[in-house]
Amino acid sequence: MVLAERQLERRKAQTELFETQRRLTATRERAGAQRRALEALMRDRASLARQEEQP
Amino acid sequence: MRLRAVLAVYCIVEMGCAAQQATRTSESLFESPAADLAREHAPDLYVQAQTAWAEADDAERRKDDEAADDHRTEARLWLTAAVAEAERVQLDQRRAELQSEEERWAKQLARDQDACGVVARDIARYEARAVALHEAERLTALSEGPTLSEATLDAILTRVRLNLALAEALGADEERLQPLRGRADVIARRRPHSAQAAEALLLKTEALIGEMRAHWPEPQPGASAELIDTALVTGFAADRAGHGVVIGSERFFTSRGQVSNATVQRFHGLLAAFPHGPVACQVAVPELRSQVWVRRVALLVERLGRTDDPGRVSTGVVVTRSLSAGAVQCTFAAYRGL
Repeated sequence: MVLAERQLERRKAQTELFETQRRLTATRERAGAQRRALEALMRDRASLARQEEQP
Repeated sequence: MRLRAVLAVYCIVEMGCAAQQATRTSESLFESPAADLAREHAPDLYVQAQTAWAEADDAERRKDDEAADDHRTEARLWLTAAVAEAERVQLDQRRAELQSEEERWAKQLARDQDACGVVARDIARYEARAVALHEAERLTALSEGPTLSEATLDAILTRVRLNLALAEALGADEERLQPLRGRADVIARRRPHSAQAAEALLLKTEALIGEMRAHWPEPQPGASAELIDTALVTGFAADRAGHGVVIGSERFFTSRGQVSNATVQRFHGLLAAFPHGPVACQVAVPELRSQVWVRRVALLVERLGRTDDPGRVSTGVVVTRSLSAGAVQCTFAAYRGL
């Protein structure tokens, strides 16, 4: 009985690990996309600032 | 019921496996890498396994083979449970590491989302400014005359809408914005021939932006550029100086020497839109003893002081030939180096 309980707990921990891995991958992808968007926006802003500085 | 059945199946399977491995020695059973992990992460179960194994040895010494087999099976089951527990602990540790990494990424994501908002707002302002500068030439054509060209009216309304968008970005609520939008719509529809209503609305929108800016304890970065831009658009000369932004105009007096209502109104609009710090004005006069200019400057001082904060603007005279008589230069001292 103890063995079965421990094995079920292990299975549960494994499932939670997979779920965390899935969430981590999704968050990492979103963060990467957001960082790329931010970099693009910053490039646009720098370009506009340069245009404004020109007489 | 179903859970019990599953547990029973587990036990039977494990016992079967354990029976197949009955020939294993104590060394091979307790000295494997898995057993090491079990000893580290599940010491209670590991001890149970060792105890059972010791009882098996005792039974063997007593020549009680049946009891010895039972104890060895029990030892294997305890050890298998200890290994399972150790694996669970390791899985949990790995999950905690991943969760921590996930939190780091989530924080970066949130920071980048905020930063995107700030940069996007900056871009909107740059674009708004570019449009406004494009319209500036037409706007500066605003005169004190009674007629208003179609192009000038469109330029004023464009500026009004940009100002309302900026005021909204700075935090103005709908209750304040809606009436001004309504007035802009009415002017756009009726196309009045007089500049009065359109320009009054423009000043109102500048004042609303000023109210929003007044919530800040001091001018924000970029405020001097905005002051110069707004001054140019409303017909003033404007430039940065070491001690602040200098706004100038030769139109404070009409050709007949009277104080220009339109120019004073526009200047009050600037004061309202950029509410921080003192403003020091100097009026260029040909000579100090001129009674005519003393009277004109006194009238101008009185008119410039008609604001909510009359002490904010100080006005003096300067005798100079580098500026035409009646030219006024005002320094917004708080907008230095921004």
